[in-house]
Amino acid sequence: MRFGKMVVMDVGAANTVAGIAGRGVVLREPAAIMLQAQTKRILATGNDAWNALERTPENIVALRPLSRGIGGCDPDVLAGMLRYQLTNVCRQNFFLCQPGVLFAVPSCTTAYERQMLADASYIGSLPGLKAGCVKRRVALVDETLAHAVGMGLWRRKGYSAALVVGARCCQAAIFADGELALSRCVHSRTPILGAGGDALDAAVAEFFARECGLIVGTEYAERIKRSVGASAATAVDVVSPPGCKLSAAQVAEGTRAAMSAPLARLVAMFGELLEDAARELGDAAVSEIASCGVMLSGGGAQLKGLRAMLGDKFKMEFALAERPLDSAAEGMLEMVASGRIPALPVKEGAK
Amino acid sequence: MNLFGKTDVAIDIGPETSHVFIRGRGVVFSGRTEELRAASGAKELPALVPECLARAGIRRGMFRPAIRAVLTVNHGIGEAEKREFEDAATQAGAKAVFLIELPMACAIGACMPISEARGSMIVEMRGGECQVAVISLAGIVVARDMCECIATSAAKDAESKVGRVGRVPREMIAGAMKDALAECAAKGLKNLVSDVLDRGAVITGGDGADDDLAKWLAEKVGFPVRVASNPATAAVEGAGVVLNELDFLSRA
Repeated sequence: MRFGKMVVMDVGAANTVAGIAGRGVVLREPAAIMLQAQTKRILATGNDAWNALERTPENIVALRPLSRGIGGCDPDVLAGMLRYQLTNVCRQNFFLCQPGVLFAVPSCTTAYERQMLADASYIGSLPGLKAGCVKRRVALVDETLAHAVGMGLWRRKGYSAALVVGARCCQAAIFADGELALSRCVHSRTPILGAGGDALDAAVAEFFARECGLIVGTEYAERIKRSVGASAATAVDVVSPPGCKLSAAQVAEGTRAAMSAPLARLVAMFGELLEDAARELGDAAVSEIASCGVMLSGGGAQLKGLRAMLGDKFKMEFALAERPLDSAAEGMLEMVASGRIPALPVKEGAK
Repeated sequence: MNLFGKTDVAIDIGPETSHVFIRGRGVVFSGRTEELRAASGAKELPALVPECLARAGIRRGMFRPAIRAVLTVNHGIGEAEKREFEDAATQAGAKAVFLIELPMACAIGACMPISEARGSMIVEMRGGECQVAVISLAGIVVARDMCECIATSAAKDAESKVGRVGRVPREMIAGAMKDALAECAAKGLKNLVSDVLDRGAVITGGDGADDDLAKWLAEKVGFPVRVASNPATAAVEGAGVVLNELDFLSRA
């Protein structure tokens, strides 16, 4: 593993964060891709592609490859996006032409999905190279573990817990002396049945469709979600969707009620994890976690009032990571630096 | 006139009025299409292209300039009709012909941000025709065309209410605007719908220069509607803007 440089990538349903070993996080952009419909030529990734979501004429396709998980994506599109973003990363360092790549994957991914992601990244970082012509060194690590390392739980003695709220997949894990002890995960192919950021957006959009027959795009739903927040104490300057006749108070109240279902799934998932912990690790573990608090991470953890809401439910302290979006990438960088990479098994693919 | 140079010309032949724009000079000719028909003896719109060029002072002759032309055409016309326009312009002496769809030309002429990832709705009304289009990323996403509805009896009833022959009834336009948004939503393009609800629609075309109509439509559809600053000439001016990009287009 010590040949050349390593690049770490945390490719989520909503955001890609990439870093170079020794340089830190160098790329932070939405995990979206814009293609020409007929030729499949990549027009853009990142912000340009994100803005084009749900706005494309027939000759252009804009999508988020991982919005339905690794198993639900088109491997070619995923490979295209990874290659494009990897090229952007590699461009920042002249000597970085064929780096090894470390990915973070949710703990709930199947062996098939892990192999799919590894296969998708077996491609040249230079746009001219075809898939399969370069055997890249790829390793996958558990995402919750990466977050935990990034937040410093790696070095903590005793039990600690982390809750990672992503766009599609929400995970919670308990660590014993920095090792993964228990984990739980909630995700769904249908956005509205999940618990992450996408589920909240879908719930907000659904509320307006039901309440006043108004169509609200994901961009606006996300803006409303951010302005309203998870708990009642936090609402200030609520954003109303265009064309909405409800008052700000009605919007805040209705949106919060709509978001309560996905949030309840998040709460239930964490509750189950604590029950598991009480059963398998003993009540002492739970009380230790309760006393030292739970770390919150992931892009969705930035939702206003989420900490207060969770704290209320579990009577525990929930602390937000310093940089919730970056902590997985930072954790993986730390793993590379320390040389201790707890790679998940990946079957050698045909490529 | 420059004898040996290039002349880039944009031509918009509408059912009622026609305009010609020359790059660097602006709109050089605006006139009624009926007069053009009477002068040239031709009936079909493509056949009026030579007359338009002549009215703009571009004549065929020994020292004719190299003409490149941009013509506006209705959205959704067939390949055969497109060929007719191209052939007519070529026969009139144009070296290169480019066609631009009318809603697109109007949106450019009305200074809407068509190439951005933003939804823009354009309502083009002239000469008894009405086209509603939603444009984003330099492409027409959804278009509603109401050319033939004048012939239907339902339209005739509504016409008498409006009081002017050959105009698309306003109820129908409002319906088409709502319809276009519903189609966007059905295609899953919900951000476009929100964009249009947020930023509203723009009316262009000679029949649309009516603030009362804009106000009425805004009330009916529930989002802002305004009239472009240059409703009658928006199409030809938009095509004129495209003239500046011809070097790029002809290379492609």
